[in-house]
Amino acid sequence: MVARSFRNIMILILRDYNSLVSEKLKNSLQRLGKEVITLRQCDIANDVSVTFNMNKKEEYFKLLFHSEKISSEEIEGVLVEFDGFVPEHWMYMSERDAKYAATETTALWYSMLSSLKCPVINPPGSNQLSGAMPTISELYCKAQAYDIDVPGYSIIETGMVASQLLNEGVLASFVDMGENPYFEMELSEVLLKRYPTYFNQVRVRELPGNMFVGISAVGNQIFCTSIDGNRHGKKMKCSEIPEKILESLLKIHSSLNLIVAEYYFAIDTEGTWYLNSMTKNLSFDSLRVHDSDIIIALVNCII
Amino acid sequence: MIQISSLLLLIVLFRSMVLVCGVKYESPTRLLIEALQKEKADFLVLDQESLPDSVQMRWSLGKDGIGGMIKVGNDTVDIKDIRSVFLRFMDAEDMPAAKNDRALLTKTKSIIMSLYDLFDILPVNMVNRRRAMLSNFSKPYQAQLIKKADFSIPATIITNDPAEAKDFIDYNNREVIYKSISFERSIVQQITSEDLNRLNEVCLLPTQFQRKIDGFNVRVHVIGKKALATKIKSPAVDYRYSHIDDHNVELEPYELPESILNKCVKLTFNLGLSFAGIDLIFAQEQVYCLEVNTSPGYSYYELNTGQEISKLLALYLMEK
Repeated sequence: MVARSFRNIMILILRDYNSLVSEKLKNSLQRLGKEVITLRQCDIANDVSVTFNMNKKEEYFKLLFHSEKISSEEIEGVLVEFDGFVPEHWMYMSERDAKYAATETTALWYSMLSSLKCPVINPPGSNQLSGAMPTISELYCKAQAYDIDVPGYSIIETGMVASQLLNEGVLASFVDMGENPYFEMELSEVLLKRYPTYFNQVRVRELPGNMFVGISAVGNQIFCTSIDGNRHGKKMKCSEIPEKILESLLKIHSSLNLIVAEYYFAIDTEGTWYLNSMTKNLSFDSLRVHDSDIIIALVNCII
Repeated sequence: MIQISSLLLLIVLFRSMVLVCGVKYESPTRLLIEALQKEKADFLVLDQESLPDSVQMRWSLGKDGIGGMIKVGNDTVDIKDIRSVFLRFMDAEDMPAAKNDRALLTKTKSIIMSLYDLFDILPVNMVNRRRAMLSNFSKPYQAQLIKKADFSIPATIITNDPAEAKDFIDYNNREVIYKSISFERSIVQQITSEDLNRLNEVCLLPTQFQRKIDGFNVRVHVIGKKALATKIKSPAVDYRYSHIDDHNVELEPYELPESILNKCVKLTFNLGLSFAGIDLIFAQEQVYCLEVNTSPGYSYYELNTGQEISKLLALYLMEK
C-alpha cells in the first residue's frame, strides 16, 4: 500500500483588496516555505471551480483556480477575512438572481469551511464566514458573568426620551435601532432629533473613563496597546493590566469560539476597567505597534 | 448608571408571562394564541403589524442583571416576569404596510432589533433563540450537525463543474434531486432529461444535488423532550408543492420508533433549539434526515391531522 503524499497549502481568503494582516501573514508563511494561495471574493464568484462532497462517512472538497488544483485534505490552515459574499460579484445576473447567488455561495463556503479539520481563523459561526460576532448585549452579559465591569447600557423607547439624558449630563453614545443598529454616534440633541430617530427605539451606552486600552487576543497570546485621546496606539506591557481582567478576558475569548479578536477597555479615574467593545479583526494600530510579534502569533495559530 | 424619569413605570402585580412575538394572523402564531387561551395562560401578543402603534419598551443591563418594562397597549409587563417567549417575527421589509412607509418600517425594525437584543440574553425558555435558528442558513452545514446526531444523510454533491454533476447523476442512475444550498426556499425537483441537457448551466452557480431516497416522508415536531410525528403520503418529490403537479397529499399521525424519537430530541437539543420541525425519510434500510426547520410552520400538519402541536407548544411555554 502506497501512502498518498499531499502538499500543505495555506489558503488566504481576502476581501476584494489586500489587507495588512493577510499580506504580512502571507509573507511570513512564504518565508517559512509554505505555499500560499489567495482567493478573493470575485475569484470565488467567477473563476473557481468547486466540488463539495458529503456522504455518510465524510465531507471533502476540491477547488480548481486557474491551473491550481486544491483538495481539502491539503489545506493546512485558512484565514477568512469576510463574513459573506456580496451580490456585486454577479454583475451579469439580475439584481434578484445576484442576491440569490451571493446567499447560496456564502452558504456553500460556510459549510466547506466548517468541514475542515485544520485551523480556520476565525472558525465560521452564526452564518458569518469569519466567525460569530456577539451582539453588544451578549458581550456585556458574558463580561458580567466573568466579573468584568461594562458601561451602563440601555434600550430606550425613543430618541425623544433619550434626549433627557443630555439634561442629566450623561456622556454616552447611541444607535438608532431602526436605521442602523451598528452605527454608533455621540449622544447629541441634533442627532437625536433627526427624524425618524426621534421616534425610534435607541440603544444608549455610557462612555466611562478617558483612558483606553486595546487587547488583541491571538489564540492564547495577548498583545496590549494603550490608545490616547487622538486614537493613537502605543505598545503597552501586558503586566500593566490587572491580572483578574486578563484572566477573565481569556475566558471570554475562548467562550466566543474565536481565534483572533480585539477587545477595547475604558478605564475611569478610579481605575475601574470597563469592557467597551470588540472586533474580530486586528486593528491597524495593534499591527503597527506589535508588528512581527503579533504576526508570529498568528502564524503559530495557523500551522 | 443611566436613569431617566419615569415614562413606562406603572405598578404591576407579579406575573408569569408568555410573550408571543409574530404576525397575529399567521397560522402558526394564531394556533398558538388559541391554544394559550384554551390553557388559560397569562400571555401577551406582540403583533408585528401593530408594533409601532402599540409597543413601547425600555430595558437595561446593569450590575443587578436585566431590568425594564415592555408596554403593549394598556398592558405592561416587567421583564423579570417573563416566563417564556415564542419568537416568529418575519422580515420587516416584507410587511405590506411598511412597503411605502419608511418611518413605519424603521420604527418596526427598531422595536424588533431591541427585542432581539433582549431575547439574546434573557434567561427564559425561548422558542427559539435567534442564533440557534441560524443553522439552516446553510443546508450542507446543518447536514454535518445532523450526522453528529447519528442520522444518515443522502449522498450529496455541490458543484459548479458540469462534469462532476454528470458523474454524480450517472453514478446514482439519475435518481437525483436538486435544491437550494441556503435557506432560500426552492422546490425540490428530480433531475429530468431536460435538466441533463442544460447541465452546463451549473457553471454559473454551484448547485446542490442529492441522491433521491425512496421511502415515505415523516415530519417530526420536537418540543422540548416531546415529539409529534406526521406521516406524509404523496407521490410528489416535494410534497409541499404537490398541488403544482396535481398530486394528492395525505397526512396522518405516525408513531415514531423510540430510537428515532430519541435521536430527534438529541438533534434538537444539539442545535440549541427547543422547537424544531425535522424532515425524515423512512427508507427500507434506514432512516434519513433531510433537514431541520428551526422555525417550523407546524400549522399545516396540525390542521390536516388534528395533532395538537400548538397545545404541546403552549404547555411547553407555560412550564415552570
